[in-house]
Amino acid sequence: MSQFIIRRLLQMIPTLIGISIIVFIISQLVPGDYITATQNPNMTAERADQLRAIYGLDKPPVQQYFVWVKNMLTGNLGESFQHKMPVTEVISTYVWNSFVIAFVSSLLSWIIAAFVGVFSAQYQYSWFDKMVTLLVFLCMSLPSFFIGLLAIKYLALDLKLFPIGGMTTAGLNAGGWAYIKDVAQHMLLPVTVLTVLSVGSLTRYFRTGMLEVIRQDYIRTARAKGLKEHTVIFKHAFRNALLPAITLLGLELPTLFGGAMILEQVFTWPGIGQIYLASLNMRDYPLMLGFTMFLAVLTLIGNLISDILYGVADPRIRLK
Amino acid sequence: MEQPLNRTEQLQEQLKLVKVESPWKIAFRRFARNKLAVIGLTILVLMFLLCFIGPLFSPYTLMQTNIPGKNQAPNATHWLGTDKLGRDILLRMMLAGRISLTVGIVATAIAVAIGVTLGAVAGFYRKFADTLIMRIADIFLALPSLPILITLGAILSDLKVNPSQRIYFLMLIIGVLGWVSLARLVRSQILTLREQEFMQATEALGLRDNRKIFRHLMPNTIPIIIVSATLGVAGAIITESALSFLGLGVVPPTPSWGNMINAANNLVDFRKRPWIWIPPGFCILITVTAINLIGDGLRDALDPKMKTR
Amino acid sequence: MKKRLSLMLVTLMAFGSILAACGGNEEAAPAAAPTENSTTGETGAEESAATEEVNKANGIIEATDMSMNPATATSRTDTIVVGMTAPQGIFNPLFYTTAYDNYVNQVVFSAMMKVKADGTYENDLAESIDISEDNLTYTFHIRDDAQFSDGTPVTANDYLFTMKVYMDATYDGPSDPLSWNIVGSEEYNKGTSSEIPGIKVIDDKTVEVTVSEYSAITLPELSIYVLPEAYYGKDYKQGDVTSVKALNAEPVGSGPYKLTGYTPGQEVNFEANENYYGGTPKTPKLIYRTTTDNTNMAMLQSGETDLDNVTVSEDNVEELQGLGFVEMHVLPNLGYGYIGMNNESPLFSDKKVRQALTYGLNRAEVVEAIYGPYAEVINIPESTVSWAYTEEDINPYEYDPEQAKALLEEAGWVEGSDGIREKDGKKFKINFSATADNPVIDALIPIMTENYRELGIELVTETLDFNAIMENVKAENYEMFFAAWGLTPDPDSTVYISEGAQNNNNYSNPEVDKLMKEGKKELDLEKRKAIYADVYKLLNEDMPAIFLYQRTNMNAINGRLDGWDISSYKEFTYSLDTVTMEAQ
Repeated sequence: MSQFIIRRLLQMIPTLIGISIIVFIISQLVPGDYITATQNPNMTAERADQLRAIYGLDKPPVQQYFVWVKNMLTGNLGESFQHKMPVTEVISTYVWNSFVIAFVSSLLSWIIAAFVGVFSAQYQYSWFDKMVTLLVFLCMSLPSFFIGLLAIKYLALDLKLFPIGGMTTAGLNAGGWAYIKDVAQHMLLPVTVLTVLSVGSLTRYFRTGMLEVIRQDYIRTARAKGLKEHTVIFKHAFRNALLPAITLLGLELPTLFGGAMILEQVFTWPGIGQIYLASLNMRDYPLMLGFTMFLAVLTLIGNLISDILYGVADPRIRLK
Repeated sequence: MEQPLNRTEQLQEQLKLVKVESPWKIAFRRFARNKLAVIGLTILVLMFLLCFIGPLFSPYTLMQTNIPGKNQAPNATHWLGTDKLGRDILLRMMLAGRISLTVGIVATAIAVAIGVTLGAVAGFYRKFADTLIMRIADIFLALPSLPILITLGAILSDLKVNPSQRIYFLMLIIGVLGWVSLARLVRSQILTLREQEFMQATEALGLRDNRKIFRHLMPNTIPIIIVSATLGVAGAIITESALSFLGLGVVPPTPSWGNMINAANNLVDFRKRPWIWIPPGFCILITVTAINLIGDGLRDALDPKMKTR
Repeated sequence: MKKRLSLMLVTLMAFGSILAACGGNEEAAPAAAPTENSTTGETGAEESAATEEVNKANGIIEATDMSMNPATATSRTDTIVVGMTAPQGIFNPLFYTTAYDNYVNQVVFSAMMKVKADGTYENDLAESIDISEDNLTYTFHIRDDAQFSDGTPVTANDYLFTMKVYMDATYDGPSDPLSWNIVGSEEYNKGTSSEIPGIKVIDDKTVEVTVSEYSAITLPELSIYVLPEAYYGKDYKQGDVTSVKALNAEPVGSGPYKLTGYTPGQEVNFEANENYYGGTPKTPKLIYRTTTDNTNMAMLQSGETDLDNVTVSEDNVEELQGLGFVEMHVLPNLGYGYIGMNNESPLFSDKKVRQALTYGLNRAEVVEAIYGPYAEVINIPESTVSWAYTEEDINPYEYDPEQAKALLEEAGWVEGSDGIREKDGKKFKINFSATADNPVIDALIPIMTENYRELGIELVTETLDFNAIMENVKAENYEMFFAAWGLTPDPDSTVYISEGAQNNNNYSNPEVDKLMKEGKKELDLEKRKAIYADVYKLLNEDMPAIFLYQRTNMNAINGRLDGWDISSYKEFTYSLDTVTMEAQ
């Protein structure tokens, strides 16, 4: 086991080098740079050259790559062109805001999806199952910004159940519990919508996984032994229905930190998603590359975790 | 080693001849008997007919705008109303379906084909193949899609690829970028399946690898593939509209269900003019539901563990 | 996959803010100018927003029923809340990159001069400014009572320090300070000199600046915002502005408000600066709160914000009018949309073709479809509110397909057997790239395709990322594209001169080049007006690009606040300290 983990960690090094090279090449291929993206109508060619020299964009790409990698190894992701501060600082300013809602909504979606999926499978083709299925597809048929707007319109504007947007009440000058309470209140709506959006597909996976397992012989045996239904379901069946879920769990890790670009925008949530998007639009390469590498590391770790968990969920899978 | 292997194959062939019905026939019979699945198939066929034949009967054309008649509610001349440029929503909805249905289904098919094959190979062979495929998958997951797409859009523009043909590239791109999660899902299933008793049986029978994979392991992963595919169709339909901005998708005024919904991007349209976004949204819903019903039917039909009903 | 890919949707929304950023240029306004701006055509709010009366007004739409004001707003008696796109935290007038950061700078800092509603300037930090006969020496006399918010006086040394930061080799802000031609700035930038001889500190309150070459915009260029040296200069060394940038989030300046808190992506908090020489602001607290296009009207409606910049459309105006308590300032945007053409391409090198393409495009219909009455077709690349704007002898190019066809015939493009025009065996087929994130293209593409087909021209359209289009334009690998320009208050620009850095159309007319150079050198406003009128006449005739529209912006303001003085040039920030709150 530990040997497996060590080997996988070592494999990460060439993978990350590969990713860094590809990502850097892409950044070179993408049309335009920060200077052209600012679209300053009075920018003279001389000034543009000066700026490129200040940002090191005038150096040959290979040299730029090695400077970037060298800095990265010392924990320095460079300075964001747009924000005029270190990339690590930009990321740490916004990423936790994204993490908070992503984490809570993931937690909720997993719990809800597990229960709904299991019941949906147990009572396949019942009214409950059909309704759930229909709801899931309804949520998938509309783009997320649309569902966000819908929620704002009915829940925040008409029913006044939630604040319209933002993370705190404007001018709130509170600390401690009052602050946490205020943030929690503002979180409710984005978290609800995020959950609604992600719970659907998870439910489908859980339902299918359960359906498969329920039909297996050992479940029939368990039932035949006269075990209680929920013992059968949760003790014997559920564990075996987890494999797809574990895979998805591993894929979820980077999204916890990646930010929900569209919904952050809709709910005015100060997350990293919008910041990352702006860095692409403005060709703010240090920020774009830095954040991509940050997510890449998380992706690799997430997949490693899910590979390890396979073995835990199903001991028949030998980790090699 | 050669001899016994051939003999078992021959034995199997003989067994097949003895059978009255092939498994495919059984599956078809089961499928045809599944009411919901048949309904799903019917809806999907009707949807295709509506989108591909319907526009021929419309009195309006794609390029036609009618500014004075903008934002009309549904009425006798415009059954589903008009949009902000006075264009007939019904016609646009049908034309949009051509794009969206094709993109949704083709892109998903590509993603499924790649994902299932690579996932199965990785899970079955493990060792080097697994490491290689999964590390490639890691790289795919880690790459930022937006800059890649911007670059591809610019390259297609540089190559002067006709904008109306870029939709094919779009399907390919959505497919190629979408295989990773399915590959990981299939792989995880195969990892556990290959350790089960029936695989020891195939081992004992001395079956060839591709037979083991495609005849014995893959059918067991069909449920997960179906879920992934149905979710994928909806995703691809919505993704298409986003990619249009980068010179990869359809060019306005060509409609797609995704870009028709996006046109209603504010609270005012949302409240005052539901006819702008309900038709395309409804179409996506119907399509996805229909595909899912078919998928469920297929799953049940192909499931070897199900008793013939 | 879905999550990661669908982020593209946001490009549309995000781009709005970037375009807005271009408008945030602090440069360049004429030293003196007459007023011919169109403000405040008062409009009865009962009238429908779509009627002709409002159409040309481009002014204020009053609030009608203040009793509908929600308690959230009326109970907030000591605070103004302004909604806007999130600033990036670069609260330094030298380094900011977005218009929203600049909104912060405009209330925290003050400059030698400030803009007036008509786009001209008045003295602010400077009590008076003397200009030498040869226009090369500018002497600023700083107000005696001018203080920074920490109570220290604003001195000539602070001005010198700020200029040094501008001239520093590592300065990477949006301005191009070396182009101001201050004597000795080049040497300071290169590090060969540690002083700038062109800036002489005469005494505490007097500073004299000498330039080697002047232009009409030299004075506004030199009238910079002043940073306190004691605060920003502590660790500054020539050749490294890092220590100055490190204070971006904690600015100290001499403006009406001082910044008391900044939560990235959420809000910026201000308190009145009691040391402000213009008088302590009437409202003690000010908050800039982050809103987005999706919800800014909802926030106004609920009373959570007092002011926001709302996209102008018939729907939105009607919606806000329905609220009753919202006053709207509809202002022409300083910028215009255009269809660029490669003037060197064999397709467009003949000006008759360019004229034909303008005649043959129903621009009014495009504008009407997207903006209704809230945008205008333009025929010259200048804002209708600029002093340089002219309609005299300007051809309006009304939609006239017959005229267009005639011009094409004259240019040698004759109809082929398939209805597509040909010349020298080459079909008239245009590859057209459009930035997909502009709402105008929804209407532009179908109308343009149809219009041009009628002329016998085939239009092949693609939608592309903005930077990708610009890359093609820079590489001269393009035929036709759609984009928009921001405009500075001064008509001087590099867009239509042959060697101009922004000459996106590959346009060259020696006469225009000569006139533009003259205009930049001329300080007399009336003479400048005449020069630019000639320029615009030539551009209108040559049509280097198809000028399309000028749209409007809107400040929607809760009616409880009175006394605004807002124009396209003078943003709401300049009124924040003087507006009064209606007693409830």
